[in-house]
Amino acid sequence: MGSVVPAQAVVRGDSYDEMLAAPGRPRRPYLRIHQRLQTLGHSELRRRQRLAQRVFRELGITFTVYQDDRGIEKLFPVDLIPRVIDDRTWARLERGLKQRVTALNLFLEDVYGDQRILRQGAVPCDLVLSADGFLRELVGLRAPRGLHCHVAGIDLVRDHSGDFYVLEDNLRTPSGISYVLANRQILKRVVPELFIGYDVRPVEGYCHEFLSNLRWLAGSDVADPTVVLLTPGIYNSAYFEHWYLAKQMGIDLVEGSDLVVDQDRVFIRTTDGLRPVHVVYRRVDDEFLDPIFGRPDSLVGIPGLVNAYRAGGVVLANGLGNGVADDKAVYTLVPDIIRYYLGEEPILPNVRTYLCTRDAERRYVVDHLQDLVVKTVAGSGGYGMLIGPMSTLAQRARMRRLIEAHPRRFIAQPVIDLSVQPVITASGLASRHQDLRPFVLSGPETTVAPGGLTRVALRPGSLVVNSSQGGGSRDTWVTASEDGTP
Amino acid sequence: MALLSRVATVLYVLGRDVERTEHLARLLRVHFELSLDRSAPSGRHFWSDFLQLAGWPAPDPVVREHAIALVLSDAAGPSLRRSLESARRAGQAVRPSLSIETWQQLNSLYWRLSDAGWQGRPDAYLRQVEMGTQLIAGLVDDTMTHDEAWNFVKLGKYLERAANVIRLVERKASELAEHDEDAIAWASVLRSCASLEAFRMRFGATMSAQVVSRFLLLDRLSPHSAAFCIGAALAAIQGIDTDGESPPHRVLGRLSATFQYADPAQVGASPAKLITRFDEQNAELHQALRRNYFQPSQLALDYAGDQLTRHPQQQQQRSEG
Repeated sequence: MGSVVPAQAVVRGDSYDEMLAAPGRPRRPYLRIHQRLQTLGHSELRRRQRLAQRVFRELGITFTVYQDDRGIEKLFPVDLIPRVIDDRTWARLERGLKQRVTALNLFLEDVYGDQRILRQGAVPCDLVLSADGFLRELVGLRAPRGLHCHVAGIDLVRDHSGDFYVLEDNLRTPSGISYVLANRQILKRVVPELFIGYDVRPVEGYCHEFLSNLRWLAGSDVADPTVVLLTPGIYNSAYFEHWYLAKQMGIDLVEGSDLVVDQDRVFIRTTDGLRPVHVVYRRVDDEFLDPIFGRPDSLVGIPGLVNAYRAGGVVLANGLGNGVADDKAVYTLVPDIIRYYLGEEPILPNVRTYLCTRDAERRYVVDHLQDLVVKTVAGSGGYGMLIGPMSTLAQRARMRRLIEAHPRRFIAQPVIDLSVQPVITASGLASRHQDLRPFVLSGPETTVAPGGLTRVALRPGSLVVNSSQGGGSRDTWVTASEDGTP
Repeated sequence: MALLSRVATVLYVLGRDVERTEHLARLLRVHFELSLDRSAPSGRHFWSDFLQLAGWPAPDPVVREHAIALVLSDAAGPSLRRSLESARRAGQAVRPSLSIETWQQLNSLYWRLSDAGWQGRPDAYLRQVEMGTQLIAGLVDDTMTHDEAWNFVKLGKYLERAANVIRLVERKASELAEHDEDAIAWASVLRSCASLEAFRMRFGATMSAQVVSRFLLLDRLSPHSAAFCIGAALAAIQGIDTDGESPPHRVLGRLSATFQYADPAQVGASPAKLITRFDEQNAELHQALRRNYFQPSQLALDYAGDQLTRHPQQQQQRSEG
């Protein structure tokens, strides 16, 4: 899962602990879990943790990281202590997430349509149109069923008082849902006793729901649409997720070479000749999707695919050009976008963000680099990120020059004090930072998979929860009862 | 539902690689055991003959440890590790088409072996490989739907096995030309094909080049005879081409008939003619498979092409011309 965007985390001592109100005093939803962890004991927990890792390895639940051109398979470690979100808290998150993704879909349809929001000046035109992810050549194109983002991963963090904030939106090819599904299965297998008495909402329905959304996108005139999942191939770091989802949905997992475009229709090559494809759930980035349209050196793309999409010959999920809406500078406009399209106040707040295109904010940023996190606006995977408190003088000087030269490319945020929760380590339980990525599906209705992926920074004090940096994850429970009583 | 051409190709390769892994393990184990209590029949050529049999170009005389290390884990030659790696890579590429159980066994066998190493005790290691690959074969049959995908795995497996037994008979017939009645040598040929028990049940302990060759090539009931494997490959293609009209189906039908109606006495006395027939029709079959299933649209399918030409068994057939 190298493509997962890392959240930031700094140990400051007063982080919000999700499980413990004070040392040895669990919060209400964790009462039983805490008690059962004590009963199991440390060595038994370690034994089960090893069992879980072994099962993951045997199932091939791994991701590939690249060092010196060699791919190394790594496990994405799972901690056995679940994160619990009671259903009242969840109901509010769910409303906020639906609101946000609904507005972002309307925004995409507008930006690639009449551009009403820009003409009326509700958000600054230049900021939106200068986003790298804005694909000018797609203006005027109507998305199938008016939807551009069919699956979104919205990264949430909790500050020191436990309040949730949106850290960033992922509207292109968000990954991680397979770990949500796999983590739940492995917990049921190795620590079934933790579940007893908790009314945990199942996550298994995701694939069924997603597939029926994808089929719906094909339009009502296709009786039995063919949906495929397009992967860059077995060496992609998220390949596990690709085969896992294809298998769960019962659809073909295809590579670029399996697809052919002929007269704006898309086909798969089968042992029985060419067969039409109606919907492509693609896990290949915009720029690599079609060598004619994007990068000519793309080896995983399909010539003509984008033209077929524009001609309505095939549905792509997610749609093209979503990068304009999850650009980290456009992120600052999302509250206004919500107000503009829905006439509502945003339920989930943004993190305070400084735009380097604004003179005053840029001056503040370059003067306070040591206290800020600087991110590139179009980046994912944490590339080009500067974490102020952890940076050297030279890194800050370099970043200062970059910001002055390319202000549109950078934003800055205060360092957020991410919440913590104990993980099982060799020497007992220890606090680690974490964030939350819920997955939002847009179809005939907008739905959110209960919980989402909790990513954990497994190294003490680590700043990132990214899997390639030693990050892990844990199962996330949305529970019906607050204290785990049946 | 029609199968992706790439997936069909890779499933076929998977079937071959798993079979090839098992064959190499057994071949090496039998020769290792043979070398323990016997100054080998061909003396100092024993291990270089063996290496040739396992697919290496004729090497200079080598010592046992070196030969074992080569066949187990050589990174360049057609070693056991490479066929297992290739099988696993194939499994990854068609992961959604395999049952969880099949994939998990293939993957965990790979990890077990790369974690363990053979540590100077090839016997235990090789038995683990044999048992592991047999388990995979059983899981393929018992946990997967017997659909087109499954039939491509079976097709690869049985064509690989048929080629292996035929190569073995061909090579041993010339190697042991002066040792027609060498019961120990011919018993180990049978053992290399997991056929010793079946042979003894039929013919008792008497052994000769003629009877063994005939049994390995033509027996209808032993799952390791060439005739049986070709019959099983035909059954697989009948499951793929239900109309019975595809060229690979016709070629394989003819090949099967060649073995089914061969004259046992003639084949026992001189297997060369039948083996030449096999090589010709097998080449024709693979051309037909490629044209009809693996690359039907005549457009470059790099992965499939690569896998097929790089496959050790294919190299071996070419080098033996």
